Amino acid sequence: MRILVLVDGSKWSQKAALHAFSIARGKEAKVVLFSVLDRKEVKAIAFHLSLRSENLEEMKRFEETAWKEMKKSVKEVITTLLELGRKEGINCSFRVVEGAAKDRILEEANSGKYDLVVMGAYGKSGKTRIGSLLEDVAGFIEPPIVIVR
Amino acid sequence: MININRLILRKFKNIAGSRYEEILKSYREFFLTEEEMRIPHVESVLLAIDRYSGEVPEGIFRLLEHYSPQRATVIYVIDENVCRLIRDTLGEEDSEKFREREKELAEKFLKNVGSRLNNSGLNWKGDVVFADKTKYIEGSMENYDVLVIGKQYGLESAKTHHISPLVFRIVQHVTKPVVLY
Repeated sequence: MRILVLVDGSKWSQKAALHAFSIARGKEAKVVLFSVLDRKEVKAIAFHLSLRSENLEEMKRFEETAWKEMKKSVKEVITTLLELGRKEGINCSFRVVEGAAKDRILEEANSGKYDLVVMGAYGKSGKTRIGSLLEDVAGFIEPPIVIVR
Repeated sequence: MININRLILRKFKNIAGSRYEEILKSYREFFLTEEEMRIPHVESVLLAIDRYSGEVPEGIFRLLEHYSPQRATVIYVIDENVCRLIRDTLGEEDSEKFREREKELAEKFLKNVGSRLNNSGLNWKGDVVFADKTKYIEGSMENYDVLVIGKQYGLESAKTHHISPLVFRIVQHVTKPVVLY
């Protein structure tokens, strides 16, 4: 069984990975931790937090720092999860791409390479309304999907 | 322990040790606690089926083999509200006929799914009940680790939704992992 886990660095995506490990442990299975980094997300944060600044260079520097931190943060979460999975004898790997989250997720999930997709019920904002996530992504994913809370 | 400490320390650096409780209180929904950083074990699965969900795909049976739960239950819930509506509008006799026909159909569905579960060597039991679909499933999930349900479950009208509103409600209320097919 080939399992795709959507990891955005949030607690909920980490729980999703742990659930995927429980499916894969001791069985013939491969787990791929998949993360999408969206530059636009960082650009928006940089712009809105730097509204008082009239210095474009300062805003750009802030955006660059935030972008580096975002990458670092996700990679750190993925590394931790990979270590845990491999310690349990699970065949796991990772893939980090850049782009619009919804598009890249659907592209990967529906590529025909996976039998199962596992994702957290919430994202980085913590516990929010669950419906938008289902509408945006889960409804369009072709393989069976596990929503973890 | 090492893993979670690394995550906490990265976010909160040296203050994590002395102010851990405070951090936990304010940011619990953003990081995994030591207790949560564990691979769960699935011991029981509830598979909810109905005529609207379509056939249970092969991938779901393979997933159930991976879970290899000690307890698997296949439940077919016939909407009690529809039965009541028929009784109120068409009378007791027609309502009875409807119930019998629905039950026959449900048993047929159960038999098909059950036969495939037997092939997988899974220990399962099946049940047909007359109840409110969402309330029954939500209530039952107190006793199971994972719910498996079709995206079109309970979707009686034209299939314009990618996920049935009933499934939306169930996913929002059930606190356990939900598998959608």
